Amino acid sequence: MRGARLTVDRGEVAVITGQSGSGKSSLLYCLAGVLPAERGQVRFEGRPLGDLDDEEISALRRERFGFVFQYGELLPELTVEENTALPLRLAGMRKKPALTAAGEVLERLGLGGLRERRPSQVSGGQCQRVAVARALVHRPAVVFADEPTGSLDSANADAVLKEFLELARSQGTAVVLVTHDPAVAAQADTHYTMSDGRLSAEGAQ
Amino acid sequence: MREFLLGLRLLFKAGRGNRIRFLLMAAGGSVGVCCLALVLTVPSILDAHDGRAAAREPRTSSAGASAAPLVLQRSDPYGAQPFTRVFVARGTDNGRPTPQAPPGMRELPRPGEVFVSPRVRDLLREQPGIKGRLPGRVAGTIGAAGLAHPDELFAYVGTTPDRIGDEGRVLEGFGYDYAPFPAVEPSTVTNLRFALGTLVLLPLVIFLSVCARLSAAGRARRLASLRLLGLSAKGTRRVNAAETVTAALIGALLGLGEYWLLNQVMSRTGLPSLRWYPQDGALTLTTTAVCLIGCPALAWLTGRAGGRDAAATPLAVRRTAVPKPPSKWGGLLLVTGLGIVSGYCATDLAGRPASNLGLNAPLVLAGVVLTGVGLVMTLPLISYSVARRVARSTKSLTLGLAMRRNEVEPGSTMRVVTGLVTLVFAASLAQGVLIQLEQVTRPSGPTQDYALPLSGISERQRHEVADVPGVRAAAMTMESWVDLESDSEAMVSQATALVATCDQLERLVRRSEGCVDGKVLRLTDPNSSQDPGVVPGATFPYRMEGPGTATGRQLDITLPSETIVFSAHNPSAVGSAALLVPPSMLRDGARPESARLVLTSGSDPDAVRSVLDGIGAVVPTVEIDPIGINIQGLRQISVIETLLALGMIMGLAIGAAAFVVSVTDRAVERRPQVTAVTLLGARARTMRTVQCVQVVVPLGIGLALALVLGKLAESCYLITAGGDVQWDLAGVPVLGAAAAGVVAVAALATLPLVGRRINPELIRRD
Repeated sequence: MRGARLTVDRGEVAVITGQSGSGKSSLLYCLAGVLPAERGQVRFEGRPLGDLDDEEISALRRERFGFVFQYGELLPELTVEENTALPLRLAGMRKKPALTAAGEVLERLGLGGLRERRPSQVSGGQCQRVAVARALVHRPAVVFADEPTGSLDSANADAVLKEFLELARSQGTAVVLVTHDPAVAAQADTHYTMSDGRLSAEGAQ
Repeated sequence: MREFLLGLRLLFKAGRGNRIRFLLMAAGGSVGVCCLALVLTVPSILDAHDGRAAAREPRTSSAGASAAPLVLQRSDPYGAQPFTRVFVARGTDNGRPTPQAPPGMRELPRPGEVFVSPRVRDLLREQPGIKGRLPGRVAGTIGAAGLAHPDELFAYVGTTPDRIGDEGRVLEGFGYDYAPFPAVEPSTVTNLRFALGTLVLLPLVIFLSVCARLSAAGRARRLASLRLLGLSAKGTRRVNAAETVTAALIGALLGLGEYWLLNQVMSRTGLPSLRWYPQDGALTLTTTAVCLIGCPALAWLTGRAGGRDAAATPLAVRRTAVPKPPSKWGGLLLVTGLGIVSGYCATDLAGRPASNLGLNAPLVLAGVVLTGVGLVMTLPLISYSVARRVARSTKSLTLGLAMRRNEVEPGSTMRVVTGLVTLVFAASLAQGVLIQLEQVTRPSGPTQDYALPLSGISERQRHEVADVPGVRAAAMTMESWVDLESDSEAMVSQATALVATCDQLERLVRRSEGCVDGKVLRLTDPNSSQDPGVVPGATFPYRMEGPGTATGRQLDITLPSETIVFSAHNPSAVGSAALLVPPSMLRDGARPESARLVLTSGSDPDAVRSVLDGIGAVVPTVEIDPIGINIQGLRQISVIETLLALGMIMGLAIGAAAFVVSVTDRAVERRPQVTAVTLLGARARTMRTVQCVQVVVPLGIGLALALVLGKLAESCYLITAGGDVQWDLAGVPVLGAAAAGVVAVAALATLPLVGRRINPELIRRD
């Protein structure tokens, strides 16, 4: 991956598309501070991530970032409510207020009735909605989404994406979303394409 | 067969992870088979010991010419081992053929020649004190064919007929069909084989079951896909079994190779109290067949069982159905077993301990087995209940995450810890058995008494023996004379007299009251029964011999009413004495016809060994009776202890292998979830703590229960066995420390399973 340059503002939805293996996920995890950049810099609120130690990066991911993965990656042993509350608990919030906050986000996404269920007891689309709730429950500055609708059928994918972006925008949360589905790009404020490790801006929608 | 081949194809084409798991199964299986081969070979090793011991046993007769070769065998304790010395006088009858030499010897030793086993030769260098037991010069070493095992304390001592004395028997030759004292009693070998088999096979089954369920989720999905594509339920199970059977077969071959190597090494290094020659431990056809057929057969069963869910409900597997809570039926076994065990323990607490007669023996066994099996079967339920409660109530995120994991997968958690829990339970029981055996073979008191027939000891030797370092007191006991040829049908009482001063008496017994020097006094021990004919006023004759007295002279002693109340040690050489006779009553040089020299020393094994060395140096051919020590029993216990310890170590090795494989597999399966949570910002130490807690909590609960239930089962056994020790609290700290050590090691073992580096590839599947 080389020559990648992008800026994402508060509340902005940036979508990176490209074919499988083009390097878009690597870029996403590089932006999130998970993979180190060999050259160049990733800055968050003006501060280079390369200057932060592991503890500081972890704290950033815990408190300021959110993640949505292709298959949700919910913990099967936790209930929907507990999964959603996990970022708050990791950030040190007590159990009761964390569960209350999680319940509110779940209500907004229409999942209030599933609180006590386990991931194996809900559908794939519902799992992915729970993953969205988990990514946004602590009101992060940025959410990094790696193929968030890749495992869903088109109807479910559209619905989940719509709810996800609505909720993010209402919270003023920036979203960096990578996908190989060009249709998703239609929802973006900014659209980038990745090809052979090179990033090019397609322009604002 | 088609399904079997399909299973093999899937195995070798399913990627690196699968191949690593296969190698892990084969390697673990090989460890199990190696241990199994060792267990199966133990009886052969003991048989070989007994065979050689039987082949060198002297065949004797009592009648013979005065010039015939004579033999006298003495076996005294040396620590926990018997030290056997065979005194041989070749005889002077030239017309009579000299008996063939025993195995391991070229010819019978000449007077003054001593042939010793390699171990005795080493001991002579390390502890010259034992030279006294072997009068003569060391002329050679006994070959392997003449020794039961390489560590045996054995010697042939060449001597003259007059030195052998009256106890010598005419030597006809060597060799019997059966050994006089088997290395371990045949009935005990059966029990031992069962115990060792359980100790090794149970962890082996657990290990194979763990292996059969490795990467369970991925495998189940693959099998479910095959089932949905049209494979029959039986075929699906066979596909799964193909892998475990192949791994078990390769493991069995490797294991037999490992055993061959182990036999070569261990026959040279040996185990405490058990050494053997390499050929003793060679693999027999039966052992090879059991390993090569039994292990794959076991793997076939566990493999088929592993694929049962995917074959029966493929859709549920594909959608990862909600796991059911564990069955409660295992609890019934535990409650029943514990009820029986507690009942027997209660009899002791109530002061009326049950015996092992009648129905009690099978009931105790049933109680112990039910408790052990019930414990293993109830652990998932206990783990599930505890995890559920803790997860709901805890405010700690770490504890909550760990407990939630245990709540949904109590079965897999318990597979991880079952081997170790079973081992602790078995260790408690084994300790009880050893305590019981120890009680019947070695006195537990602070002193050790010895008795020597006075007839073979001169006056000078008597004084020398009394001066042996470590001997605290020496005295003499003599038996009153009874005319066995008398036609009288009336019961004739016999009274044992202790010829000793008050000071000597004081040293020989636990306590005494009312002793006055220079007087004949009656002796009464309230704790022992007395001959009803031994009452004050009764007179007992003691026959004397020796210079100054004509043989047949009699010393009549009337039992006085003045009594010394004493309490003897248990066991004691003077416990049966009915009267105290002052030494001054025997004229100088007068010796009772039927008398024993009794000595006492400390009971510390080193002190006992040193005293026996000292006595042997003064009177090498005299038989020493170490009161209460059953030397053959002690030898057997040492062997049993070693074998049980070996079984424990092997069980631990397999249990630990199952633990490591299982924990690693769980950690590998969980990597996507752990990565996701780490990406959400969880610290590495949080995830490590979660990993550690989810193993340590069920393991801790399991071990604590195993310790408590094991001790109860042990007490139940000890109570009904009727020994002095009923509650072995002395063993609790050792087992507690061992269990704590297991928990600590297990906790440490889980830490490296969560890495610091985050690999997002683990959660990508495109």
